[in-house]
Amino acid sequence: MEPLKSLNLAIDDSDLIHKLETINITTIHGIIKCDVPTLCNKLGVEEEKVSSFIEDILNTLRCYDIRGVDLIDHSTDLEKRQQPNLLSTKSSTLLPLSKKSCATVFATETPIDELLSGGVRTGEHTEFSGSSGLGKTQTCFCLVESLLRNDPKASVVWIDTTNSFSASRLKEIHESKCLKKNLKEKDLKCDIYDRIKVFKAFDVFEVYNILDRISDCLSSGLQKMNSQTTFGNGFEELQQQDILNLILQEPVENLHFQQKEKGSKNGLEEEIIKEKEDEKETKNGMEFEISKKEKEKGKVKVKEKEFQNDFENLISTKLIIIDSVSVLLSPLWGRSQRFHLIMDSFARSLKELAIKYQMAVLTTNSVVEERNGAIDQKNQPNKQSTFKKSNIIHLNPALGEFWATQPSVRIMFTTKLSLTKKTKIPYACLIKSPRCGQIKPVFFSITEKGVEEREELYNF
Amino acid sequence: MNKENFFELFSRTSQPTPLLTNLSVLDKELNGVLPPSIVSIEGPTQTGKTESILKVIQKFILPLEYGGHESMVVLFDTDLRFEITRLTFLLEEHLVNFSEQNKNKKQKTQTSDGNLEIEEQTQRSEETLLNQTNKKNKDRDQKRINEIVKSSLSRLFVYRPITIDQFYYTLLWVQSFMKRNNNNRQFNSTKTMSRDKVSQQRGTVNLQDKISLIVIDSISAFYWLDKTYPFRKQSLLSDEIPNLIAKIAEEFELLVFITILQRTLSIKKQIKQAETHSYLPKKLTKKFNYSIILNHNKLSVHNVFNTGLSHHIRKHYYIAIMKTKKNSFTSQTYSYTIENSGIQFEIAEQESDKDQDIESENEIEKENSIY
Repeated sequence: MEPLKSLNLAIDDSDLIHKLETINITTIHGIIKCDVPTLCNKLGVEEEKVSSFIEDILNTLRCYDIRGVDLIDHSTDLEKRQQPNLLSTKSSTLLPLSKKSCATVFATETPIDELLSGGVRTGEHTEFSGSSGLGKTQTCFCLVESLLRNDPKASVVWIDTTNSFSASRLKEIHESKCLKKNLKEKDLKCDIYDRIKVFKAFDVFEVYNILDRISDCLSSGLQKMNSQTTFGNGFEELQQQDILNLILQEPVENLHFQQKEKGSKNGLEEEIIKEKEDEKETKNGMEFEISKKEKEKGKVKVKEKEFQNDFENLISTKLIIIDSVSVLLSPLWGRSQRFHLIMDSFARSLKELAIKYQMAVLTTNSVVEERNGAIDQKNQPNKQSTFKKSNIIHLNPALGEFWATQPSVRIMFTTKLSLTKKTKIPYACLIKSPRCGQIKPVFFSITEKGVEEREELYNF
Repeated sequence: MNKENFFELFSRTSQPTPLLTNLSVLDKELNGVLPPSIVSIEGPTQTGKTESILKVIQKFILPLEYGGHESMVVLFDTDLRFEITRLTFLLEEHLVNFSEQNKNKKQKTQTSDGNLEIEEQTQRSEETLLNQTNKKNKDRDQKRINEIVKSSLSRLFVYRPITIDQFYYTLLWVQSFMKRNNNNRQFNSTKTMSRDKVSQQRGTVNLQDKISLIVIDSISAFYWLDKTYPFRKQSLLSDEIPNLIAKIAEEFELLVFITILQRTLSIKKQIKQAETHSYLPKKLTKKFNYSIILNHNKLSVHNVFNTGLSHHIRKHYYIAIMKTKKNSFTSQTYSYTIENSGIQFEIAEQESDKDQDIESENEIEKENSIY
């Protein structure tokens, strides 16, 4: 419960706050719970003032309302949107609204796009799970490559926990796709290698720090635009994309940083020059104080540089990939409540980032065994028969049942025995999606050019 | 001024009428739900809780001419997983089916009057006309459907609270908003008098321009946070929020639908021990009027991840209804499937559990032989 002083309200109600302190009401919770008429009798203030004060508090603290209409994309320009399914139809303006949402779709350009109904979407948390070596990281590479090639302004954050990121593989895929389209890298005029930022993390808390940095950069960029617009009760989420486009057009120097020091816009140098002039004027030989000031300025300069670097790299992120979330969370496994809390808050922060800043979040997960016999033991009396059946292993995604509720889309990579029963063939199937997507599993093969369709067809 | 009998006025203002919710389980068994009441939909993951809620929202949003209530709906999306394309798909399908039904009815009434020869001639001419104007009609229909969907979606308000505090303050704000705008059912201005008569003739209640439904998608999203770190030893979820929800429902005569997450259990255990195994504080369970519990069949649990034949997911679920009236409950089991057109319940009671167990075992053996 926050104290009342911490709120920055538009209306000056400092008198009210002082009066409330005399009755020992200092928190927001306190004022909401008490009776308005009795309060007014005690303080001698009009009811309208107090009620409007409470309304202001609630208005600042509540989440903004979104109308269902605003979540649909009303534009008719197909070129801007990357939805490959819609490009094939002719009458684009009269398509059903069920295919148009404000989320952009990032195609992976692999056969797995059919399962994802186009690709990975912004504002959602998708998950690839499967045992090792089946192609989860390879599809992530294909996704990154296609995103960075098609969108010259987007950038990607890759959080690597298993040391599986290789830039040479990215290069291989990129070159092979350029050859396919008979283009050279120079003709494309895109530097995909500059716009991908790789972080190495081996702990949940390091990943939290990285996510905080990203959200700081993006929110500071928005704050500037927010201060220029009207005081935001009805600040719609959908304006963020327009704002980001404006920010990307402006040079970085003109943007306002988050620090609250006086006059700290762009030029700390200007400040230093002014202060030096002031010092010369005063002619007070307080050398100790001068050296302190310079040290502080030095620190602030370093922080600003870091922030500026972060800002340039992270301001236009549209995709966050976390390779193997199971490595981060499984060491914490236990029956304590804190494990569930950490999982819950971690998943929630990912989804919050995805929704607020219109990004897509992708995680990979590993797999856990579950023997058939263990479940059916109660129903079947003969233990020998269960022993025979327990040779069959069921593979479930790791991190348990609670983590299964968090992502909105989940894809499972598994294998199937071939007809000769000698080799195992990989395929991908859709476990969970909010759109009731495709049911059939998808076969693929991993080649030099990335993840591609398999030539031989297998019928289930 | 429109004149009214005493009886008309009495029926209009005194008693709330039960509302149809589009879930056939509640509509056919109970003939709708009487407001104010709180309905909970519980179950483990991927059992269709959000799907059933989308159906209810669809019913409340649509305009009166197409079978809806045409009222405002407030949705608290605490899970942050609300998908608008699914809702628009359901709306569009409903509208398409509705228009086809009307066309069939018109054709029937027309053919019943005329002679046979004239009927054949008119049919042939109609067919040729249809082929020519087919595209134009399709475009016109699509435009109309898009307009109706847009107008109905403008009645839906979505809130995405990120912390419990935000959730609590938005609930309070919604309460004060409704107070200021006099959201009571008994309040009817002169503008809405004519609409009242129309709604009376159809046997429904006038809900236009009023909030009549609040949906909270997974109140268990804050369960773990609230349990481990309650603010100053006052957990919001267990003390404050249930009282608030009950107050709001009573004051403004609303329906409230709440989804709750559960751990997987067999059906028998679930009915007896439903309270202890759901991610929910106990005080809220006392305030439920109805609760629907959804669950998987054994088949689907085994084969979801193994075979990739995920069409198994769409069959053979069980559910149960419970009317909670101070520790006495009546329960019934049904089966349902989730398809593209939404969740569909089968009201006729199923065979005994033993037969289905045998079926499930046979199917498991068949699939295991593939491997």
